[in-house]
Amino acid sequence: MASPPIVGLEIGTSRVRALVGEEREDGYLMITGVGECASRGVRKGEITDFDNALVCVQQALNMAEEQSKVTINQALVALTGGHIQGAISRGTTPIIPADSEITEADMQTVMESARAVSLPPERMTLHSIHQQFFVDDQQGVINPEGMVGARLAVSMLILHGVRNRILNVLKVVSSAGVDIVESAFGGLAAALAVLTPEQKESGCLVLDLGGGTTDYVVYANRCIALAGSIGVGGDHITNDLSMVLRIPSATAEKLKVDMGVGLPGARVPDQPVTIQPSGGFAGRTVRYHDVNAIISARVEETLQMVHTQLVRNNLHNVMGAGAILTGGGAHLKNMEEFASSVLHMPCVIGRPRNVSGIATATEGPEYAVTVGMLRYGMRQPARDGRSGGLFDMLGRIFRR
Amino acid sequence: MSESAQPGKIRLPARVLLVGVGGMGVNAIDALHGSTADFMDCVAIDSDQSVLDQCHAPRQIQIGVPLTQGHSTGGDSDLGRRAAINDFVKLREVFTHSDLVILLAGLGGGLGSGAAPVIAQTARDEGALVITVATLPFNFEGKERAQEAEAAVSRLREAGQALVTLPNEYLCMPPHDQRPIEEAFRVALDQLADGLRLIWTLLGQRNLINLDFINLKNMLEHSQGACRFVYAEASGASRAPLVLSRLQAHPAIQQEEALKSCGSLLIGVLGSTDLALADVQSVVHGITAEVHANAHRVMGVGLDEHARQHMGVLLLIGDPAAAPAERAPVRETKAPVKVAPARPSAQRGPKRIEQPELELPTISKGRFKNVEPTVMDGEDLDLPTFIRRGLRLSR
Repeated sequence: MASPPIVGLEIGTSRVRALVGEEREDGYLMITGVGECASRGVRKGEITDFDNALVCVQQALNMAEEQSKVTINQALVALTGGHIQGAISRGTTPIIPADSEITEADMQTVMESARAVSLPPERMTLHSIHQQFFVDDQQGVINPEGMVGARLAVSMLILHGVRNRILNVLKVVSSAGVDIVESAFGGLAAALAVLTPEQKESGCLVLDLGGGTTDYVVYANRCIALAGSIGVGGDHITNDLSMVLRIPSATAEKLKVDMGVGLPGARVPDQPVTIQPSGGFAGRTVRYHDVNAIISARVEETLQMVHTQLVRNNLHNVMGAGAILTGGGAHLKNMEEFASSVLHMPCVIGRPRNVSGIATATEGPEYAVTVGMLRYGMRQPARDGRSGGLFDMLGRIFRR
Repeated sequence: MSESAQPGKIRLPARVLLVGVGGMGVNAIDALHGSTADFMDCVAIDSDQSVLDQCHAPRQIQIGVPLTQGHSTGGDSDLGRRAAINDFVKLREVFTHSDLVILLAGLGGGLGSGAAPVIAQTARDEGALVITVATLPFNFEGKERAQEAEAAVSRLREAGQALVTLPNEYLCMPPHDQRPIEEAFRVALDQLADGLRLIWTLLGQRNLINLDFINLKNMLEHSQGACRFVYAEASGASRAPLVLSRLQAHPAIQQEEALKSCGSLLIGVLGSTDLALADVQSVVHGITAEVHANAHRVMGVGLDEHARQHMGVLLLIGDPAAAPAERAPVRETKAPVKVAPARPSAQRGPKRIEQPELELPTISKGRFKNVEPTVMDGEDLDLPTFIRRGLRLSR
């Protein structure tokens, strides 16, 4: 018999999505309910209007409940926002007596010291993920237990964000009458949903192109080397079009979807693009090249910021499996080719793996984060040691 | 002055806006405001609240507050540029209903060099004909400032349709000039104000020899974006030879021999009703004797009913660096690229009927208005990349 249903929830900038799923015995995830609602009161992944956001969450949850025929009273919540940043922290401990066997306790000690980063008071740690151990001068040790050495060190990726903004997201969920089992960074969830073990092994970049944020997670050297979020997303493209061409937002959104991003180097003749009248807007004819230039400039800039991060951390040449694009932005026409040219690596659209059930949620890159949250829920009882210390503290705050 | 234009008012080039940017620009606005307020709308733009507080312009716009905390840019032109970009929405609103924008700035400083090109481009993108009048720093201000100004000149040439440079060095000509510094500045500003008024009057009334908005635009197009501004006036019986000698004594003409090599020339003459044809003839002959035959010439002669025994002459001397004969073909191929975006601001001006389209509520920062901005390396990423990169719409 399948395990009890789990619920993943993402309060995105453009959509609120809720998924109900069950873990099958073969490890597949069976989606039994999908709830989706256009977001209001969310900008750049952060809550700007609590009441509106709450209504959207309730709608999405109701839809998912109806379809799956279960009552939702707990969920795993995805978090994002440009305030979420990653930092590498290193901890060191001597092995006493020197040159003796390293024990589990030594590993705990050294990880604890790496976790103890001092963050500004308004920030809190979301995840601390250990990357690799160092035994004396030997790098890249996966499991040092039983090895002999004088000194043990570890590097950890600390993902941190602004406490109140995180709490506000969780507060919306708890106000909807749902307990929060866990919450996790959306970028990690997307990676969990779409990546194959081979991709993780060869090194890759997961880029979740959301409405309000662009989240990135880098797998390199067999660990999560880097992760973070940039507060720029698909909304910005729409807003750019709306501001520069002076067209209403909804019209700009449609224009973005229709046009997509121009292929680099492609010579397309300039042609007039007619924008239909709507509401108080009288309609307008704009130039194809202008629209293309506005969209390309924004997308190129955003991708370039991610690429700069890779270069800064010397990770740009170790992405053997290239980039995997998720999120609604992955649907933008020509996105794969465009991203390949900016990031200098092959790019493919990532779709949730090993999922069955309702088709909408099993096929689209925009569901990667929510499916990933379900996967995250599946792993909970027996969490593997590689990404430890995740989120209990927050969960406790809202469960009491 | 403008009253004199009323009776024959047939094709007023609609709305002219005088804009002062940065310390120098705001000072100039202040100085000009008294004498030009009757015919031009003025706006002062600065990042420093204290500068704006002391300014008398009816409209004031503070830019770049999040970047400068309301202080000056300290001569940092990049900061000036970012300040203007930061508030481009506000700026755009200013220019929405302008047909001719005269932008005053001192180059070499932070806002003059950094913000002015952005502002010029914003105004141009709003469909206005943009003439930038920029002072260049004194030689003694140092090489760095001169280089900064030079860079700004090329940016301004790109951004607006026309750039008029007024080197501050001209203020201390002749070299043994012992006038107080304040007077030297005031005289220069007065000349600027009178010159602007002259051209405005000619554009706004029926003239003996006509000068209209399109003539001006064509002349500026031929100037390849840079020109010299020379104004002189005189009163009394011998005003014609006096004006001529004053014009010829101007450093731009006397020392730089701008007339010899100019690619285009605008001569505007505004005289009292007793202006004699011979007077006009002698001045124009005196000026054009050296001018190359191929140079594009525009002329306007008008009467000022309020003046008595008075004659004012304005010269706009285009691109003295380019030899007209050899460069002419180049200019022609270049002109459309540079000036083609001179989208019908001229036609728009006089003939435009009220816009039929319903005005949309202004989209300011759009949907990110009330959200904390995403700032990276001092750049507000919520503003369109297109705008921050200085791209422009094709016309």
